[in-house]
Amino acid sequence: MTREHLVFVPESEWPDASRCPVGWTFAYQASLWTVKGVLLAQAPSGARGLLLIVGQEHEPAA
Amino acid sequence: MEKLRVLIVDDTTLVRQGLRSLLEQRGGVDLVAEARSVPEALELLHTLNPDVVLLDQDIPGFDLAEAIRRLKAELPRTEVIILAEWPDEKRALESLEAGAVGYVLKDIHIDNLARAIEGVTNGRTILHPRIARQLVESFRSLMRERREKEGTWLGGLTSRELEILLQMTKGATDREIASKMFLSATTVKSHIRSIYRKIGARNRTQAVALVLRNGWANLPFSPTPSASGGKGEAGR
Repeated sequence: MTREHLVFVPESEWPDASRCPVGWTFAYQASLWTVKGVLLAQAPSGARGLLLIVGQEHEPAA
Repeated sequence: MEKLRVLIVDDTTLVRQGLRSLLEQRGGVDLVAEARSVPEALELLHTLNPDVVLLDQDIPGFDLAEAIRRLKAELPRTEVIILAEWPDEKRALESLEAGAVGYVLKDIHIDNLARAIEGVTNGRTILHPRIARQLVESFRSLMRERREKEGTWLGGLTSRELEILLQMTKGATDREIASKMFLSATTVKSHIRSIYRKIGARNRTQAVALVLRNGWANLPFSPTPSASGGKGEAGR
């Protein structure tokens, strides 16, 4: 089954407001990961930011 | 706790019914109605007073940003999340600018969709994972990389083609790629032809050589799963 992780990134740390990462694919530890969603959200501190849903496309290659 | 009221707007019956079934099984969310079009949704809006509208990116007959503006104008406190079959950076940004609070692909896990719905409606606090900084650094590097490569061969590839190209650099055969990506071998071959055309390669060896020469096989990374402490990092 596809694994997914949710990651919060504060707005102040997002490097470029003119880019939306949904659909971006990354290589990590011989697996491919795709950003499956982005939500405007709020951290416990009250800081606004992006909640990214990052899904693993494949199991690590043997 | 009162269930969150959700209205789904999608012209595909299977999507509407699939989402209804999955969200109902999970609980916590009450899918109060389904609409096949934006006008139908606008009609239902005042009667149903939903907390969240899940809106199909490709809803026919209406410009997406305009649809969001109309929905928000009717009920400003109702939040809109866009459901996309395929990622489209331009439309994602337009949606967020028009007032949507989320843009997610339709193949995300139902638990994460439910968390998204819950998260946008009550400003629920979200844990700040240790990996966030690492992720930001990765995106920063990727953006730098993309900016440098834009206008050259890499910018024209779709995410699927990039995936296939990465597999090719690992030495995977067409059949192995097809198996890993749940595609037919014919589809993989078609993608590979497209990759060759876009990057100006004549064959597999030349394509892989181009990837390695450009250093693209060492792309910045996504967060490490082990560092995140397992599935579902969003807190409650």
